[in-house]
Amino acid sequence: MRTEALIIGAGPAGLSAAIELGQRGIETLVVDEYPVPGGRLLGQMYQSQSGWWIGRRVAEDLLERLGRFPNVHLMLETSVSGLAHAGGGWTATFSQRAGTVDAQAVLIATGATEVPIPLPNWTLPGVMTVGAAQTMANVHGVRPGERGIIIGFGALAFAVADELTRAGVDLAGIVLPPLQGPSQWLGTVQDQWRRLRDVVHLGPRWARAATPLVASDFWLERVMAGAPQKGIPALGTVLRPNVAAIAMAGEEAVSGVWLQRVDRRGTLVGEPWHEAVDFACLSGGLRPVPDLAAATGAAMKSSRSGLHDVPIFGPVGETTAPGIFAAGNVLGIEGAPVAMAQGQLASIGVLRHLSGNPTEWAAEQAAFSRALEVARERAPLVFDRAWSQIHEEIRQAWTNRPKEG
Amino acid sequence: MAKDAPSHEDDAVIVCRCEALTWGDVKQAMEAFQPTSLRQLKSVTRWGMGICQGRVCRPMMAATTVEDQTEAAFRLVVRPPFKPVAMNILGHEGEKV
Amino acid sequence: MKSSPHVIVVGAGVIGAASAHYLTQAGARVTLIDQGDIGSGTSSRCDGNVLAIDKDPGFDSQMATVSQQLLHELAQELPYFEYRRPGSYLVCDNADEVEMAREWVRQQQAEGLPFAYLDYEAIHRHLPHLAEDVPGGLYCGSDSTLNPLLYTQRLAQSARDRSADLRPHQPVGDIGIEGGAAKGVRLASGEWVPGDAVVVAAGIWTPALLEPLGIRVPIRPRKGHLLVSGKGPLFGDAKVMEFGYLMSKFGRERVAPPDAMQYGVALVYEPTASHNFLLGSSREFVGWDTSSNPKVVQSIARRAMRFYPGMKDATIIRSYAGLRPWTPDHFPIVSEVDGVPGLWIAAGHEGDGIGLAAVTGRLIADLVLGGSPCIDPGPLRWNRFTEEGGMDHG
Repeated sequence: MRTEALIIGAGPAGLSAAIELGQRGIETLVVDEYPVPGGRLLGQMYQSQSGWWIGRRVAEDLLERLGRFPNVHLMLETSVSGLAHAGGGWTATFSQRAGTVDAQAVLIATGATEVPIPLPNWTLPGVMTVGAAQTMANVHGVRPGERGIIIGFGALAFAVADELTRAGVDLAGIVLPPLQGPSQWLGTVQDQWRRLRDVVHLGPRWARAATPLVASDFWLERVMAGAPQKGIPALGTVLRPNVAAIAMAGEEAVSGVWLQRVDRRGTLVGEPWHEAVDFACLSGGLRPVPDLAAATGAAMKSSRSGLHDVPIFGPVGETTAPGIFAAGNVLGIEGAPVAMAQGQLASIGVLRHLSGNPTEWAAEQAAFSRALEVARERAPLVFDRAWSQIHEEIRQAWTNRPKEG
Repeated sequence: MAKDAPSHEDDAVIVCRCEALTWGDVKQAMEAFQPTSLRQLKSVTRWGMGICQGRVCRPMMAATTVEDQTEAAFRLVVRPPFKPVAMNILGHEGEKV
Repeated sequence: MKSSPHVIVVGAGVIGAASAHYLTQAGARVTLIDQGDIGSGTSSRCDGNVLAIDKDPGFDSQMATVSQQLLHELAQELPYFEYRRPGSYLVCDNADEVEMAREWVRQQQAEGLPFAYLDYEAIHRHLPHLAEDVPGGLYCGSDSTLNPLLYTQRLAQSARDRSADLRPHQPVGDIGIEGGAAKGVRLASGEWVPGDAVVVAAGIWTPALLEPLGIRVPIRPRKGHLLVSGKGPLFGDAKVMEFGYLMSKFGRERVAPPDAMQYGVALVYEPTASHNFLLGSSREFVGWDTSSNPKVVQSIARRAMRFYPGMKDATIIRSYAGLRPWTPDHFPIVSEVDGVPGLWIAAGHEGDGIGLAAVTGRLIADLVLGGSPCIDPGPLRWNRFTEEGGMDHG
């Protein structure tokens, strides 16, 4: 099969790009691993400045618009297993079906994956990532358990805690992860606490009033270490900033969690105690899935932790590999509105690649760039503060990249 | 109900589910082989060589301290197939999708 | 030579690591240098072949057999590297191959080697997963297998335990020649490492290291692909290869599908200690590219299913490719460079580096330190190519 554009990933970035390409008459094939298109939109439900964000509705809207273009095809339950440069374009192969697709341009919109936290017995049934719990509750309408606990601070953990408690799930709170041994890559206890700054505006009014307090490391440390052991009410549950999960308990499945106090330095103090839970959500954060981009030979920015491995990309999602574009969380962890604007921008890159005209669609590019800025300004959550710095470094790397010829 | 408090041993924690590798195994290999890159660590422990090809456990590898801190030391190469493929699909000739 | 000479080994692949192991065991001081990690070149992009089954009777076979014996001793001496000795099989595709396989076994048995011809009934009893139409095959009882990644690391570790200085991530700039003899190595960093002898064990990178000295080495990179399966049911515990690729030894054409012929694909099935298996392999001269070619990967998968139809549902999780250090006569070079005392080459093992590392390392230690050689080094001389007229000596 041949197509002008192949889009890998039917999440907010991939679908937004497909709409732009669809309305400009480009033969486009969108593939996704899952049986349902929408990617992470499917599980999202939160309150933003402009009201409720219900990801599933956003996905439905995108799909409805996409349905108007007979030149756009959607192929689900399809993972790309190979992507090889051939005859000026790219040949993709798939895990679930034989045969190949030849595309002149490829948009990699493979999004992000969740990172689990390796604490003792984390491989027991009932231990899952926060995103998995989100999908269970919001997509499948299944409660992940009777009583759970969220381990690890981070934007996604807080958002999912909020969603789960709204869905009536009982939570023992949000606690710190272990921070030594195989979990030491999560950083220090201060790093975990600092993440509260990114979400404090979502908390109750009295918590919002604490913003100046948590803005200073000096006070942040004292407030967090001095919190009551039973926690600070927030997001329908309790935030327990001086309690760490040190192990899961259970034989066949999770039956509880071992908790212990930590002091201002992150050192475990006192005796551990057991609390009964039948599920646990691990929140080690999200990281881009840049494998396909890396495999095309596109220049990458690598990180020691692997959490920030992304392709070097240009203003319309170009990578240094010819005909390979990228958009969405594969470029860094941000919200769905940002991914949608990135998808639209990347469609400009694809259109220019197909036409060979590097200056066309300038007005659209400007509009999408503005939309991207607005989406960033209005983002209710900052997933990882490192990304703005990394994106700045990538802008420089892109400007200084070795040019062909 | 009385429960025994867990030991604080990190050594038994699984860090690679695919290869059933524990943190203790990793520490032992670090000592025995003194790897200077994640690639070398991977080759002596099989960390990340299973079905997930490191997609799940890659960040945990950052908990190790390989001597060399250059970008080349922590870059792991991605190789096709990017997702597991059955042999009859891999070997199929057809052009139709 | 001094009682405890300092030998610099350039290249920390399996050959360099084995050389360092035997040199330090014999009392030499060793510095083991590599441009990358220990074992990061071809030694980490290969399978764990330790084979006599495909060796010509005579010197070829003798060298392989000595290496197998040395390896067996190493397996007792060094920590675990997944060494096993299940023997290996060659399976035939057609009647023509059966005829040659019988002849091959007859020649090997005449040399007293543990070979057996297996007729239709026997091969299917030994290898019950084989395709029904496989007409016959043969077995070699001395062949063994190991984890090449671990083996290389264990050899280097053993040398380090005997105070070898391991210098990974140190590209070599020049080999220092003074008064016509090798005196040391200048690293790219500018550092001078003096030594009493220099052993270049740099596989496919050997020609580039020696070329500036006017020493030409006819080693070329010959690419090979391997596929890695997920964990699952195995198709037997021993290594299985197809006889077809030996047909050229008998002056016969191999009969195989066009894609297999184009990419030099012949079945290699290697079960590992990790409950998965490797599938190979291809043979191509395509320069220095180590990327996986999907067409070659497809061809290997097809060839494997021709012999093992039940593999159709097995899962492949990764492919990789390595560059074998090929020489024109398929023998390695393990030799001093004529006219340059103290400069040694141990390279050019093509697809047998893992299998021949033990004998090569041992021979290097014997020759460099002036002991009696464990095998006849004559056929491995560097100047055999010069004498044959293809090479000029700079």
